[in-house]
Amino acid sequence: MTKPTKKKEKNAEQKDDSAHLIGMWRTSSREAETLDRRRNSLAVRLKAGSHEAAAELVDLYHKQIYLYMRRLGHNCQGSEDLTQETFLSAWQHISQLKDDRSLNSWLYRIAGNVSRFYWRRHKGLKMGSIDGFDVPDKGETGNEAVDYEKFEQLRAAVAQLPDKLKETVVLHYMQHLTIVEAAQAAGIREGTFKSRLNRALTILRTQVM
Amino acid sequence: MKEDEFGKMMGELGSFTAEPVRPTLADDIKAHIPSKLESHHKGMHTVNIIIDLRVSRLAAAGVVVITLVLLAGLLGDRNSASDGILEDARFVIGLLRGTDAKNSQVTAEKMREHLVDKGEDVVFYPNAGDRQDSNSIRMHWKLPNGRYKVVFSDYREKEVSAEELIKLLARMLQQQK
Repeated sequence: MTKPTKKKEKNAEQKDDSAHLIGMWRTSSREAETLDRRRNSLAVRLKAGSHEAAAELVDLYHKQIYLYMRRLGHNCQGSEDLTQETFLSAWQHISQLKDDRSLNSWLYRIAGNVSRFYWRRHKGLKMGSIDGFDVPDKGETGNEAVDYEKFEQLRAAVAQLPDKLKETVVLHYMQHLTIVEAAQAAGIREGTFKSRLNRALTILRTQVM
Repeated sequence: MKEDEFGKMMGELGSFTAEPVRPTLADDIKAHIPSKLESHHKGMHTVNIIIDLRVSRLAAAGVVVITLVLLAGLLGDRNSASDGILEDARFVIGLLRGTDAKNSQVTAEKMREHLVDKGEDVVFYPNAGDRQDSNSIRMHWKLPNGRYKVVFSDYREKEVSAEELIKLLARMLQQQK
């Protein structure tokens, strides 16, 4: 009788532990306001059919979307193609963006769908892992506290997560989206997103710690 | 590994999995900005939803037509298994294609046939005006409650009394003169 209770307590502790990890990249309110204003204006201009706005959207997001594709397991060439496909789709469906403030998560949602469609079309292909990235040397970052071996382990563990859990980790920890934005990007409720993120963190902890 | 260290590593996961992006990628993408940003048109949403599901445009149109035909069969109490399906498909396509007089006439006659099949005593005006003429009566029949159902050339339906029907018919005849 005591075992399940202990297990429950442990899970609850782990949830509390991960609470401080969730939402750690909240930008300052002033920065967030400026970014929101820029996104609003961009969305409005895009809806009006402005080509300058379309180019600005690329400038603002192409690196993020490319890295998102890479982190979802696509190779370099594939990621470039899918990034382009994401923008094409965004330009074509801009009228479907209901809330101008959610441009960020809307674009990520398109990117996620583009990636999913790609894997569906190429079922035979093996999903790449994110360990194809170049790891910066210890000296480059200047951060001596980081244990590179364990970091490699963590990266491999993220790559092996089930797709849905990996998506949550990539969106929140790697793309630095807030929980609300990341949940919108994944097309799920905030609570579901948090639950998935906790599950992902639990798995990663057991594999890395 | 301690929890703090794990948290720190998760926090730095983004920067460690970052990599340089090809400098010309943005320009390559910008080169594909379409002349018109928004490709979706009003009234095409149903087809576009199916297209978004990665079905070809032709298949999407086919799905819409088949759905309409089946719905017409269900609502119109027709035997969908008979040869009528092809006819119905032509009828629906005709409806979707345009509003020319020939199509309009075919539609009206189909409607009359359907009502006669149902046992209604329909008075039909084959030479009524085209679909633009909203005052012109295409057909009418008596309802069990003693009133009349009138179908105009533009397929608007109205339930009227005997007096109102006479007025409508008189107005139509005057216009035809």
